[in-house]
Amino acid sequence: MSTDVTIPSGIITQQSADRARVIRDNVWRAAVLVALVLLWALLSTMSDLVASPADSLNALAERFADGSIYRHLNATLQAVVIGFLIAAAVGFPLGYAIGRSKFLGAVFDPLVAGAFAIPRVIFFPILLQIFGVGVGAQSAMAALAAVFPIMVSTTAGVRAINPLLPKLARSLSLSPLQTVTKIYIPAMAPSLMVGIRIGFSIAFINVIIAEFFAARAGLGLLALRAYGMLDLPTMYGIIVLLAAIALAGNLVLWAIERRLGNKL
Amino acid sequence: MSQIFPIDTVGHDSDVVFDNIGMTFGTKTGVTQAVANVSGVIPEGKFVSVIGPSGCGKSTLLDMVGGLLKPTKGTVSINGETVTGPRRDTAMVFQEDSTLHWRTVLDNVAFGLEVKGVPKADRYESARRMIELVGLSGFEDHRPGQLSGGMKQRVAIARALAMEPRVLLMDEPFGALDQQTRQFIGRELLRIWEKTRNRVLFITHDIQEAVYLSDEVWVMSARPSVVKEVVTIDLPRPRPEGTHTLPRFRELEDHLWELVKVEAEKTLGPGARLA
Repeated sequence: MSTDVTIPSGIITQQSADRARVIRDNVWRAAVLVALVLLWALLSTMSDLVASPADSLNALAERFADGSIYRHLNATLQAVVIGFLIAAAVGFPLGYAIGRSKFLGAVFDPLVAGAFAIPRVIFFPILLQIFGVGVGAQSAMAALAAVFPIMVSTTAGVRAINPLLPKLARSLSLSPLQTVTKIYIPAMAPSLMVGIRIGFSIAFINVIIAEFFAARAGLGLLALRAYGMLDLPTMYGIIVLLAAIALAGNLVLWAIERRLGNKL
Repeated sequence: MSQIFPIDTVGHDSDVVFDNIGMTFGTKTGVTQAVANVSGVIPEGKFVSVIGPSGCGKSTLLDMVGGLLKPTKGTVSINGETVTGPRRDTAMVFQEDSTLHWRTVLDNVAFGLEVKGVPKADRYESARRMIELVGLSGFEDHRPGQLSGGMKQRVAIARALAMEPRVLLMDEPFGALDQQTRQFIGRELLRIWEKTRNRVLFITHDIQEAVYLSDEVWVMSARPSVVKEVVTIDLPRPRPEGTHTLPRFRELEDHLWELVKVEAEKTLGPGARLA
């Protein structure tokens, strides 16, 4: 009887220790957020350039209540998603090819590294000429910006693969499709997820920047307009919304990454 | 140049036969002849090791049986069929870690069977048996990252054995392990092999390991390589702990060392002398 109890109790202790650690971490995360809001509130009492948290959230809530924000929210999210998908569709295969072929690597490594450092937003006026003012230009901007980090991390991922694994695949007579799905993709999963996470962030950043220049709708445009009219509560409200979107997007991707990490 | 073929090349249908094979690589500076002429037979149920100086084409020989390389001259055949590509009845174990780090030990060992299309229940059953055989019971759900180098090599060996290969090809499988682990896992391999009795082609640098494990040791010359001598290891099986100290073991070891020394000195260049 006593042995029956000892073994599981050991496991339970381990589990409860893990749970205690998770709870502790979350409490601290919440504490940091609260501290930031308090700091914000403090700053708003000291400067006319800062709206108070309460005013900002109210202004944002009003925009949601009257429905005027949805057009802008949609435009921004659409541009981020379309831009990211294009970047992924181009960046993953290109990065993979550059990583696997010595020749392509020799040709493109320095070019990609160089192009990575160009501030991509410089091309936005040209994109505006091509696509006109609207979600198309915003999406193109996001794609152009996000394609490089996706390519670079994919290339690095391919190169980091244990060189014995392709040999193993051949010796086990894997088909080309099996080699990709059972060896390359799972072996590269961590780098692919890094590419996705950074690609999403860069796409989001560049859509907002592009909306500052020229847009028919979008959260960037809305924030800029609010600023122009010195409607500071709305502007800070939109900043909070942008932060929430960035945080939520990254949390989702991070959770996927961790689940893959446990599974893969 | 006269060649001596010390091996009877007329094998049985079920054997692995090297028939006058040669391997020539085209390089930037011209043509390099890696393997000049090798003939030999790995009979049913025999453990054959190949030793020789670095770069003499030992691994090339193994890759040819595995169907990863085609000889530029001659043929390799298994069970009377010429090897033209990777076969389902051969399995390889490599020197470095080749486990799939995202899979559990169980799924690693079952991997070969999985791509072969064996149903899940069947492949897990074989995999569990092999895991037990290599002494990894209790580690089925661990990932390679949680295992030591020696344990990872056992996973690779279990994966190869699960395929129930007629020919097990091992390319310095313990080369990356420390001395203690190496001796221990060598004993384990022998214990396992005495149960399975596949044909084994085992590449090694370690003369003692070759003597301890094998029925025959092929000594290869420096390149362009030939099999210089086939040494039959006439030590009784099973080979218990103290086998290394038998006078006959020492004799065989010394004899092999003399043969390898001459070749190694050739490879290292004129004037090189090994103690």
